[in-house]
Amino acid sequence: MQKNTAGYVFPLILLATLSISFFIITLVQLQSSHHNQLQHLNSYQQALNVAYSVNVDVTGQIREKQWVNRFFKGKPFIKTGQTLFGTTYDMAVEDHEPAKYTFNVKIRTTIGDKRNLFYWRQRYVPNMLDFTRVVFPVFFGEFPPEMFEPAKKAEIDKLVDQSLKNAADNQSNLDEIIKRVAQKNTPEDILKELGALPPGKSAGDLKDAAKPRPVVAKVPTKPSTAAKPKISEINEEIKSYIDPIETTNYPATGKIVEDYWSVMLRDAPWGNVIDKIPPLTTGLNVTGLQGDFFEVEYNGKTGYSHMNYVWIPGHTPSGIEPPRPPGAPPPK
Amino acid sequence: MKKRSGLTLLELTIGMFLIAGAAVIYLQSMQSSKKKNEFYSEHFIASIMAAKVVEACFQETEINPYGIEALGLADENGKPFKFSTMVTEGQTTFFKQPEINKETTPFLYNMFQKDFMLNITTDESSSRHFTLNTAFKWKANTGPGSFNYLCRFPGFSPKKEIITTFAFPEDKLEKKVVERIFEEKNKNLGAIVSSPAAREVSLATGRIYFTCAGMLSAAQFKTAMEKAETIGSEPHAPTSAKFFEGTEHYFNIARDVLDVMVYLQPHIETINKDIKTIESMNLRNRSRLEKYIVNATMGLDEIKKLFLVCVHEAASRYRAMLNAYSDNRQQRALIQRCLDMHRLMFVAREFGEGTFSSSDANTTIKSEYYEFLADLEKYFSDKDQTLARLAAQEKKFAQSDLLKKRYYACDLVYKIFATLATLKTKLPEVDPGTLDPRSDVIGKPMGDGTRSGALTWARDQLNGGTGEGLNTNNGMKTRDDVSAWNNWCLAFVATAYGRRLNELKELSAITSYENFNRAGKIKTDKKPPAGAIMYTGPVPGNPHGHIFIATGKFKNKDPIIITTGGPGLDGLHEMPLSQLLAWAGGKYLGWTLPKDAKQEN
Repeated sequence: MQKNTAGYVFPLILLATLSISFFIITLVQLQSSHHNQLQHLNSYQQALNVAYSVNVDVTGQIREKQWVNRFFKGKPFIKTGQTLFGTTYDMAVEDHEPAKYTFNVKIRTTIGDKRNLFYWRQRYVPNMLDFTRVVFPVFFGEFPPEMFEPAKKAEIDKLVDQSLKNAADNQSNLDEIIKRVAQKNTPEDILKELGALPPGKSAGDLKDAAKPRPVVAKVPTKPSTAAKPKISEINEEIKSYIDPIETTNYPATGKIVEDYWSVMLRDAPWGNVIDKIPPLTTGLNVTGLQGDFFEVEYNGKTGYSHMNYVWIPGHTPSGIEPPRPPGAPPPK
Repeated sequence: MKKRSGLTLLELTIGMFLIAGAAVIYLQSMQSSKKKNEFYSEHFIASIMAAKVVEACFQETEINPYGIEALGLADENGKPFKFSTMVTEGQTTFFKQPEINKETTPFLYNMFQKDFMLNITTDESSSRHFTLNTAFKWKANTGPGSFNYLCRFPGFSPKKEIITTFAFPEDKLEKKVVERIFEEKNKNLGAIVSSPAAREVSLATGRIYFTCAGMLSAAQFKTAMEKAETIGSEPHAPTSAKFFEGTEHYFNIARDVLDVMVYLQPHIETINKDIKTIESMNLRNRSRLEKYIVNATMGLDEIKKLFLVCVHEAASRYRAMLNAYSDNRQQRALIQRCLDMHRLMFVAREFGEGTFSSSDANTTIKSEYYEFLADLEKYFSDKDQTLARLAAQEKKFAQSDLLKKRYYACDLVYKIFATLATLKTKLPEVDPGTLDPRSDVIGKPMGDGTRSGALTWARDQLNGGTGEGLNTNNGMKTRDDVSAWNNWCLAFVATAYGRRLNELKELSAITSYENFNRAGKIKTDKKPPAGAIMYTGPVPGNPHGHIFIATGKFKNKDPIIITTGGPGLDGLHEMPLSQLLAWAGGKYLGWTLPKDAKQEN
């Protein structure tokens, strides 16, 4: 029987050619996929950079005005279709009621057909002592881009609130774990403590599992040893100049602290004596303060008695005879 | 016909062409693929590296308002410039830790050796931020490669404006000033003070005085002061909640005081500028206003001391906490607070008199700050370059006296304290007034047991008085002999007080002083009111100390007193305390103000 080999090689060659073609197509697609991944990565970083930059600008605006004059006071500040570094973005800044000094910043970026929504909840630092700190972030996260819309505000805020609540709820557990882990000295002990070894693995399988972790040196700062006056001592000094009585609300119920002499009731500060209030009189109706004299109602008369002799809540009288000030009418 | 076996030449030729063609396409694809893969790989790494630069800038500016400058992306005047460098072997600060070198990262090293250049262009495009263009450029096999990120970073110290919650309400201020300072009712300030500038001084004084009073009596402020002192004196570990609570109380006091002082700064300036305009006011109103100006200024000066003490204590406690924590995030937060507080103390150090009990404020504040910065720089040099750079930069700012220029709050605090110091030198000598004289003790052998009686009687023994006071120890009167009270200082003061004060019934002045001192009734300042009993300590040759009476008057803040004489100073004299100290020697011990004795005592 004759062997028929005609037409055998040609199909083989065709097959080989086709295989190479498929291989090349696959290779090209793989490259294209790499390219897309890279582009996606860069786009994401670009979106993040733009959102961060817009937030930098928001905090910059806040620091230029008093909090009471913030640009989003009273109503949300929303801008759409803005452009920064060639990227389109939408932004919304609004107070986070009822928390004081707290505000939310939502920034949605659009690069090609890809959208990202970044969300910051931030707190303004309303004091001068923290002067290099204008705001600090309470929360940062990403959400589906459609949640930018004002109608979704409650939804997104709820998610953030829940996230913060979870973090707060877990804090004590976290503290406990940190405390426990801090007492362990090797990776092996730590993994056992956390129960974090993968199934079927023993600590011995891990490199340097029994190697003690390096001792972390503490920042070698020390508290001051310089002695200072006590706060209470300084407070007494301040009070020798500034009398906190200024904030007392009138009328107040007062009493005379002088236990021997009668106290003058005058028609005006350093004015004529219209009556004398007996020592240790109580239940006086004190209606105001004029100069260094309380306005007092006594015996059906309204007059003035020196604050050195009259006690009211928040004021401890010295009981000391006051000098007659220069220019005051001379005694009669 | 014979059937052909094998391949024809044509078939063979076509086959060869197809195989050759496929091979060429394959090889070209492989070559192209290799190049593209290499490019993508380089591009990917470049983007990661650029992101690292962006992250480094973020980390730097998060804690350091001048982070862009610390990174070398702006000059010392804050002016931006272009930056271009290789990135291997620590040639740029962004790739120093870890360094890209042949030994540890050979792949990266080989790649970045291929003319990879990091280019950063800083643009000071706004007063709010810098814009950084971070780019990598390299020579790829497929042509020039380039990649860049644009991002904004805060680059300046923020200006904050503060409205304190303790500000006295403006709508109530004029009424309060009229009533409290000028003792009037239902009058406009304009009817009392005609000069507009003096009116402004009056209102500024009221703002300072009543705002400070409001702060001091506010429940939260009082609680913070009490708790700071209580918890601060207890031995708590720096990591404990109690230690943190105590520290926060010190911080909160300093915070509230600073906010109040910032709010009051323009009003201190008003008084400082226009204090002379009150001279035209009538005596009574002027003396009232002068009293309030002095009290507001001196009160504010003491509040400044409270601020410095609390800031120093809080900073000291934060340092103790820093020493106890190893978490970088906590360390950063503590360092930021510590630095802010040290900065304020540093610029205020020349006004820190009285902040420390036994050391000089200027030296203490300066040395503690430099020590703190040196500790930070050393410790973080191999752990957190951002913090090491920050400490080095801060040291430079401090040494070059740049803190005021760089930090708005520092400049403000310096201005407040400097204005306050200037104002203190302009303060009028306040006439505290006089006790109404007790005419019934004039010409009598002793006083009536009251302060005014004591002072009236003491004056009556001076030259020009009746001199009828009787020294029962020697039976003498100044009417007959000016030396009647020489060396009988305790007897003189006891007689002025009608011999009714039990504390004065002693054998020596120093023993009577101890009686008052034990009861906590001695004040050590030099502001004794009229009739106060004053003391100086023993000297060689006089172990008994000295006792005398304050008139309530002052000359250049030096209290005027009435004293008995002795060797070298015959008779009774009215003189400034400093003159007495020069004559008698001895340490000034203080004064006490006895309550008026009851008649039946």
